[in-house]
Amino acid sequence: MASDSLSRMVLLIASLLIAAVLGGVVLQYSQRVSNSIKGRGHDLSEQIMSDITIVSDPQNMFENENINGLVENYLVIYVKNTGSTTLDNEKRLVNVFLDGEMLRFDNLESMEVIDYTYWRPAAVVRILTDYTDNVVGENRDHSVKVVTLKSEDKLKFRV
Amino acid sequence: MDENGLGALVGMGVLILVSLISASLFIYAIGRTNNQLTTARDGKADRISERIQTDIIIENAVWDSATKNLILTVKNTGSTVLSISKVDLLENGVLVSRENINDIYVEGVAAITDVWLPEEELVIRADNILLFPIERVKAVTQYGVSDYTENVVAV
Repeated sequence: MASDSLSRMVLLIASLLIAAVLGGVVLQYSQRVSNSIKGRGHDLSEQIMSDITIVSDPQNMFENENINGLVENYLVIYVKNTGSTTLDNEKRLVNVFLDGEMLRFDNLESMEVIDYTYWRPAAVVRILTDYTDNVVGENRDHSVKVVTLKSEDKLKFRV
Repeated sequence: MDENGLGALVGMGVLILVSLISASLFIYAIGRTNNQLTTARDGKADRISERIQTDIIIENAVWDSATKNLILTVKNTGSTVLSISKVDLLENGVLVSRENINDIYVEGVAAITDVWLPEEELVIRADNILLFPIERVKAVTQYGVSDYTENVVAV
């Protein structure tokens, strides 16, 4: 009789334990999935709020600069934050394409925010490349495209 | 009720509670995401609408050879209120830093606020950062809407 009630007690505890473990696992996965949904939503909303515009004058894309002692006309791109969120202004997070070809990280000499510390809305960044007007080639149509983590813009110009 | 029945009941209760908590977590996450996306979409729609309604015209550009300054008159010909501090100038393709902008007037009065209303004229006196005659000027608003002029009068 005693052993019968003991075995029932063991079964009760076992069933409770199984329910608790199952519940814990389900809760853990629910938490992960809901965190992922929140994270994805945050990323998407940031993407929607982000917008950039290349404001360079397509007739004057080159500026006289001194890079490593070599004074020449280098390709400079001005990009304005026309969205409603602050963007990352690190060179490694921005890709520049010239005539469809991505410029290597080494080809981007500098990227600085003009007048501000951060690339906040309405602020302009100046991207200096080591491409000269000789390298780009004269009497031809060109296109430059700037891609940030969440936005992009393209501008056509002629040298 | 025997122990087996009680165990099943409590186990079922635990699972129902877990299901309810999970459902509330999902509902909260989806609701919050939906709110964020709705706010972002509304903001984007507002920006697009304001961009469409924005227009400026460079009415006059004078290069003062004595002071080496550029005096630019720009009119807000759109129907949206613009921000003066978010206007950018390019002289021969080179962006003029705000440090080089000396005076700003709205409708002939020194600008003490940041608001530039439709039909108002903005006069900006900027340093000639190039130190040689300016041939082409571009003015850009906060939404990226811009105007160019090559009619720069030297005085």
